[in-house]
Amino acid sequence: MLKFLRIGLILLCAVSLVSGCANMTARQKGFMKGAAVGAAICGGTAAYVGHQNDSNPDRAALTGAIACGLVGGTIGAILAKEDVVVPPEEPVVEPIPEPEPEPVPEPEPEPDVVEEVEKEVVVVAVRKKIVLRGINFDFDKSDIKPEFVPVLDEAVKILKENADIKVVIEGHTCWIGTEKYNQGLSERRAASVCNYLVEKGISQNILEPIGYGEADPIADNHTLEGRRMNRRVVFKILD
Amino acid sequence: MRNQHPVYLVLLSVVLALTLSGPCTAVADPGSSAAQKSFEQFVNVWMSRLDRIGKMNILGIDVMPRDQGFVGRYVCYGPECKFSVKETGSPETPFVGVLHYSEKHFLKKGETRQKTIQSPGMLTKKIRVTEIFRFTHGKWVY
Repeated sequence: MLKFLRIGLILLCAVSLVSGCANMTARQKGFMKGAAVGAAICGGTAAYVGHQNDSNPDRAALTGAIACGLVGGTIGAILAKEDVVVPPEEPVVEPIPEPEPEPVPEPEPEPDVVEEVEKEVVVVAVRKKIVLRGINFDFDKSDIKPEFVPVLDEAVKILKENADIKVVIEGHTCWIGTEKYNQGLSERRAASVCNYLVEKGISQNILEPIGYGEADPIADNHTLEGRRMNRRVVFKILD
Repeated sequence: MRNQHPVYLVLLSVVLALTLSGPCTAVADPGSSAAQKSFEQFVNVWMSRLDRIGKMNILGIDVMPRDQGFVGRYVCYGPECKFSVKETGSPETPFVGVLHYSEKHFLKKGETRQKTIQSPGMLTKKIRVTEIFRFTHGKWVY
């Protein structure tokens, strides 16, 4: 009976060691657990063997418990994992939202209505075009030559027939010359035609001269014929 | 008489040469009906050019992806047209010719580029075009 009481006492000590201290590190806890297990097993076994051999069981149990406790503790400490130090989380900084760009209005959808050639025409922004041919200014000049006048006068008559309109006067060139030169040339020519129309009584408020340079050809610039067709002044009559 | 033939031929040549060359050569005034006829011929050529440009636009159509398919646009001109010739009173430009036709904008749609190119063009826009030409130094200038 006494023997079992001793074994129970050793086990109780071991269990108390296993529970450990809350403030211990992982390695310390591992040492304590290993030592407790080792002491319990070896101490109990030594006490039982000592009792069977009629030797001093208390001494055997104590010796076994100490020896195996040290060995078990060492093994437990080695096997124990170090506590992983988790750094405190960085405070999460909410990203400052970038100012949203101004909503770009969607381009007006083109009329989806598809009409047959001879049926009613779809209403569009450009109602009519007047193309002035033979307004072939001299090199680097934008003055109105006498031979242009009848063409311009005919255009004035047509514009006066159309009330409540807006007219874009487009100057176009062929691709001979530099792009920059042609751009300036087309602008000067559009302005020159615009001034003539104003002199003839067309309100400046309805006129808008624009130079397109060589950017909007209607024919092949590789041919003489195409280049001549591309040199033009166009009135776009808008609603 | 036979011996005098070369002399007559030389004199005739000199008279013709003096008549057809030099600054004093008169520029023939075509007159209204002649100008009308001349402009008619010019218009036929002009509309043929525009027709050719339209056909080239169809062949060179630029097909772009849009939504879940493809679209291509092109422009054609005419072929219907009307024209008139007006006297101006200007010595430099005695006539102007006015030509009216339509500029037609077409749209092609398809699931693939090939189908788009092969699909029939649908008319989306039609703009009335008036072109004004001048008759200067005996020819239509553009």
